[in-house]
Amino acid sequence: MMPDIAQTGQVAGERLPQAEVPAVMLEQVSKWYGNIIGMNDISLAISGGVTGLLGPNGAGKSTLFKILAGKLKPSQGTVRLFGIDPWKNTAPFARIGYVSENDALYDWMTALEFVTTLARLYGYTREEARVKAERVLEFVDLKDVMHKEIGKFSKGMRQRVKIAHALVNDPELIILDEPLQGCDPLARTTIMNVIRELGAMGRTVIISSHILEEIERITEQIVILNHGRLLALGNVHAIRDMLDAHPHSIALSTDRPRELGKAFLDHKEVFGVHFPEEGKLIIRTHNLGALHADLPQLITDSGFSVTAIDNPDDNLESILTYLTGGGD
Amino acid sequence: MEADENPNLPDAEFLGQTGAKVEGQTRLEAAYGSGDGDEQSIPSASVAGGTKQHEQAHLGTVFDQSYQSWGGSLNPRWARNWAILRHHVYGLFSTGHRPYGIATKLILFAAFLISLGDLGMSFISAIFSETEMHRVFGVSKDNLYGHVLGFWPRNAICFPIIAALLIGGIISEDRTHGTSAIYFSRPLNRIDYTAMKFLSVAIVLFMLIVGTLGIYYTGDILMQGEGWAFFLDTLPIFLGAALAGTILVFTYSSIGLALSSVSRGKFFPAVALLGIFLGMKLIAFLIYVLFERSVLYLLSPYDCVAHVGQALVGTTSTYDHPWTWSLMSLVVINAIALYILASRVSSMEVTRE
Amino acid sequence: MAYETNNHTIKDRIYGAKGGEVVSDQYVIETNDLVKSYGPHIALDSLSLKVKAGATGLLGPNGAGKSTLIKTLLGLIGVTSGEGKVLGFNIRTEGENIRSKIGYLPEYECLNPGLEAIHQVAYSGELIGMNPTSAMQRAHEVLEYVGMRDQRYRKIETFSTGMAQATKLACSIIHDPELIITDEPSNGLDSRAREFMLKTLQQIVGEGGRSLLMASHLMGDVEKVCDRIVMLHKGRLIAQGRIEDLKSIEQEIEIHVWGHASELERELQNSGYEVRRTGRVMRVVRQDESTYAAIIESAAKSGAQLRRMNDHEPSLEDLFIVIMERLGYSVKSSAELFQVGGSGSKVDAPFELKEVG
Repeated sequence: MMPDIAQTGQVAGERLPQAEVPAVMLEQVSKWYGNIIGMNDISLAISGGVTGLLGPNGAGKSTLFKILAGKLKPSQGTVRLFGIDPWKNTAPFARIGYVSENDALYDWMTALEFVTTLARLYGYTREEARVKAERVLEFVDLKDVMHKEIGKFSKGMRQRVKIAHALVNDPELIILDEPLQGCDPLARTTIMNVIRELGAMGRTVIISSHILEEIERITEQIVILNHGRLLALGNVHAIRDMLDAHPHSIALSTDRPRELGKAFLDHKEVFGVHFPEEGKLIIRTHNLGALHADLPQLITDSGFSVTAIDNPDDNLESILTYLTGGGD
Repeated sequence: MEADENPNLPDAEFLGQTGAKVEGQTRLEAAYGSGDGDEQSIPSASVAGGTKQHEQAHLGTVFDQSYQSWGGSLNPRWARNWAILRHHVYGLFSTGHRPYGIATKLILFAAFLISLGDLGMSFISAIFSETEMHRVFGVSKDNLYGHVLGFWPRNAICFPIIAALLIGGIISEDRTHGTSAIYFSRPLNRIDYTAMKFLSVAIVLFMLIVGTLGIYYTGDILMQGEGWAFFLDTLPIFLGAALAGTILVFTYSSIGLALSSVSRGKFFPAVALLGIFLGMKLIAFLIYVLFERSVLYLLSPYDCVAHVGQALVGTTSTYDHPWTWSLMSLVVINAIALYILASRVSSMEVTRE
Repeated sequence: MAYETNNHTIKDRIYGAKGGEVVSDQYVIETNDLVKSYGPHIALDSLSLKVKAGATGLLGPNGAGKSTLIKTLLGLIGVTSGEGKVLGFNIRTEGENIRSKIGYLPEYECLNPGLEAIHQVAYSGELIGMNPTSAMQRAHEVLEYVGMRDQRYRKIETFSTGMAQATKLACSIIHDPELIITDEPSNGLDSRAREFMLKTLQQIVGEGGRSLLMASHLMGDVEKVCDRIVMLHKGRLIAQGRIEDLKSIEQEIEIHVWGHASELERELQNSGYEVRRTGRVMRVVRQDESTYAAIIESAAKSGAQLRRMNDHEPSLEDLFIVIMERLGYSVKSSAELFQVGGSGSKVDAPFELKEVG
């Protein structure tokens, strides 16, 4: 059985024709290194939109990336990028851009030479490649230094060269492994912006990062791995909803927590309230959606003032903690 | 500045204006897949069956983290330099210092034994009272010279390999591992750093080349029961050979360190050192055999030292040109090596931008 | 767990270069019109900054001159003109003294993989001038402090990034420096290791009473650990001071709306509120205490769910972006990536340093 994440969401601007073949498809893929399992029976399909890939160190993310890049062959199962097996076959890579975590750039080349050369590998003519390279380098703000050798670049600049070369061929599938490290906030916000827009255009972006706040800003569609297994995939809120071992909480900031709490106790979806500190009220429920639907009316009817509303554990960090026990 | 004098002014400075704040509007962002807020549909997901859901994870305070200050005093420059020297030299004998591979240590030990070969021969001839044999292996101009500068087997195999092993990563590893950042963010002079590394190599080579010379010399005299007269007669020769050995040690070290400072790996400097010493010797030898010209020997570091050594010890010169030329060539070679070393070390970075 | 050894007691804080008690307003770093140029390229441009004791963040886009500044503060490179003092020592002439009193955590790897952690840390202490016994004893203390007690005898090549980073930190605090300069301390760390690193840095500043200059691109890290920042751009000082004092951005209430968002937006606008919106995230300009109730009421009327509502506290990252926008830079969009012959949207807005007073 193959869970399918076909991305829906707001689409603005130019949209690619709906692909019949998913950009990435894994069917029961396993990979072991001797006795150690890198990936364990993973099946998923990703086509369009932005997907975050999460999991603690050693969860299998790097193995997955290597398999997608065609550098590793799965011990079992099939991998298809745009319907083609990437192992020993470079055909799909003309439509793919890849930013890897390691730092293997050609230090003796200038940034322009590097991106142009790689662009030519995709089949563009010299002139075309150069124009594309210049444009993408200008986009990542390396225009002033594009004639400098990469060996002299700082880490942030090297990172931007990597991103530039991944985007130079207008790829339909973009795989990013920790793309934002070393980027200053302006570069980071720009790149996040572009990733969201590329997703909205219908391109497929897969991004992995340790910094959960960054993933939360970029996308709500995630894939969680741990110990080589697929733990969860889909919308982050929907995943949270499915973790019934952990009931939901709504946190309200109010000057009259006890009185407000009493008003809620009557609601059928509320099974408990508590008061962790002054001015704060936590309502416990098994059915977040139903409670939230009635919440504004309940507050207004009660007449008490509420200055903040939050779902304290409806976020990536809590989900990861619940599913992986906080790490390896 | 005004910010300090006036407590009511906020502690801020923006675009050169004290007390100025940053005004503007912040960006509004929504994650991909979060929808437009109007839809009624529920997003979808799946959680793998049998996924264990952990209770609240305890990112625990497994231990009590409490900062401890240190009131000790710091030793001056000599202590820091000694630390570098210790780290490199002690590493050959014990753990906790610079790691050397087991192969390196074994080869060093073997080289040490081989260098004592002539002492061994002399010992055997003493035991069996073989005067003929002793004439071949005992202390003499040729043998003292040969101990440090004899080409075969020592300078062809033994000494170059040891030198290559010692200098292999000595500076290049600091570049590769980035440990130069640790060295230079300390109150360490780059000259001291280079000098101590140089010394650490030179000391081991000195022990191996000149130290064993000393052991051979004194050992042979003691075994033969020669008296003070013999000792005083041969002392100048011994000192000449010791000086020649020291020059050889210095040259190996300076060229070796220069090579190590140029590259990033361990093998290039080692192989290059062997190439320079043995290769140049070979080329010069071939030219000599083919064209009867010994001038090219000036380019071979080994031959320059050997020539100067011959002059110091007083054995017959095997070269056609004056030994002062070889000396000059040596000075030039060492100067170039040290210059390269100095400029490469001064370009080693603590941060990168 | 607190313990006392022969001559170390906890609580003694050794402040000041000369060993005396220091008023907390003391500057640990001061520069005066510092200029550093490499030929025609000006790396530091008349930089006059004052960094107080405590934790300060060093910010700036790539190429702003942060590394050059750190190198000059460590006394590693000469300056073209201007003066500077670190912990009271002159950066031009007393570099060695500075480096005895400072700990530096570099961004890149700097440990010898073939050594065990305990030996690497002890060696780094000896290189400052500690005698070998003190260095070894202190190395044990410090590795335990950074949570490496059980792994200190292992070789560094077996370490994960988190452990290597902790070891680096240990190397930098072995001599109990008064000022620690760190460059991207949580680089490459997963969330747990990152949290621990930041907590440890906070502790060194808070409980240990040391000062910290943290160069980082992760505004979240800087906000957690530091209460002041210094921001550079193209070698110039753009902003310095307390983070709280710098922010003067419009007070807004942020809400996340699930369902009927457009209706809610209309309701609020009809009631006279200014609303900005992207998808289901909205920001309403806060007029007064009653704005909250008005939002909730409007939500009840439109049938919208208010999943989140709070005062939007502009983060340090927001501040950074606003500052860069004030300087003429903007966040780009994919349109600029794909247009042919694109013109740059970056404009270098000139700014004048006004004379104060």
